[in-house]
Amino acid sequence: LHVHASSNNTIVSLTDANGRVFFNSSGGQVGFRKAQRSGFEAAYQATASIANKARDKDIRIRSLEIRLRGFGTGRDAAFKAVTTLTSWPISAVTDVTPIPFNGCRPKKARRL
Amino acid sequence: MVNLGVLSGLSWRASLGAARKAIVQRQISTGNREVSGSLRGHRQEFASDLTGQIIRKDNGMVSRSVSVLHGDAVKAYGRLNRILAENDIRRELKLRERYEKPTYKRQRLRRESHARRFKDEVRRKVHLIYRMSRWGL
Repeated sequence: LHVHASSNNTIVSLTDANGRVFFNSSGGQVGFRKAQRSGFEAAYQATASIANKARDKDIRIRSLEIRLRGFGTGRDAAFKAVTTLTSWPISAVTDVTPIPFNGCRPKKARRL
Repeated sequence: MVNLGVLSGLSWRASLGAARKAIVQRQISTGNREVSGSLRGHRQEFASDLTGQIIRKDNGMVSRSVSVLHGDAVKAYGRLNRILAENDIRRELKLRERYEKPTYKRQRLRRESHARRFKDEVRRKVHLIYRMSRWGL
């Protein structure tokens, strides 16, 4: 379960071990717009919708690894949703936020 | 999955280096590897094997993974957050969002190291005083 929690949105994808996607969902897909997509409720509902889709398709999950990317509000929310709404056995929790070893030069500083 | 970072409490970058070193040592300790019939040289086999092992080890995420023990996912999440907090990953990401000119970076580093040393000294003195009061002074 990949959770991409940015500061503007949270998108959640359920994939297999190789990364091939089963389901996608995001704050926008569950009906929130613009600023609300990044909220707690949006991420919660997004993971809920993925849980529902998986149940409808009768997909049995033997073990789940949660991969968190980014530090938005949806990070916590998605995790809580997975633990409370589903009974999927979680085998590992990983953080996969891309951290460069001094790679690309970021954008210039905002001067307010 | 071996969690070198978690077990040895290293920062996650150091543990990646440790993982690489461990792989190298494992390779070297297996002794002389016969060229297994292929025309590639000894060194090329070693190199390709090494990269294969590193790629299979999820390249960079080894120490940011926390395996869930006894089905307690919440605790695992807490441990992950602890690792991230101890390694200041959030703060580092925030700094990397925008480019920081070298001059500002130098000033910031000087400020931080000064603050760190000052706080360390104060902490030492406070602990000393605490111990002295326990000794009855």
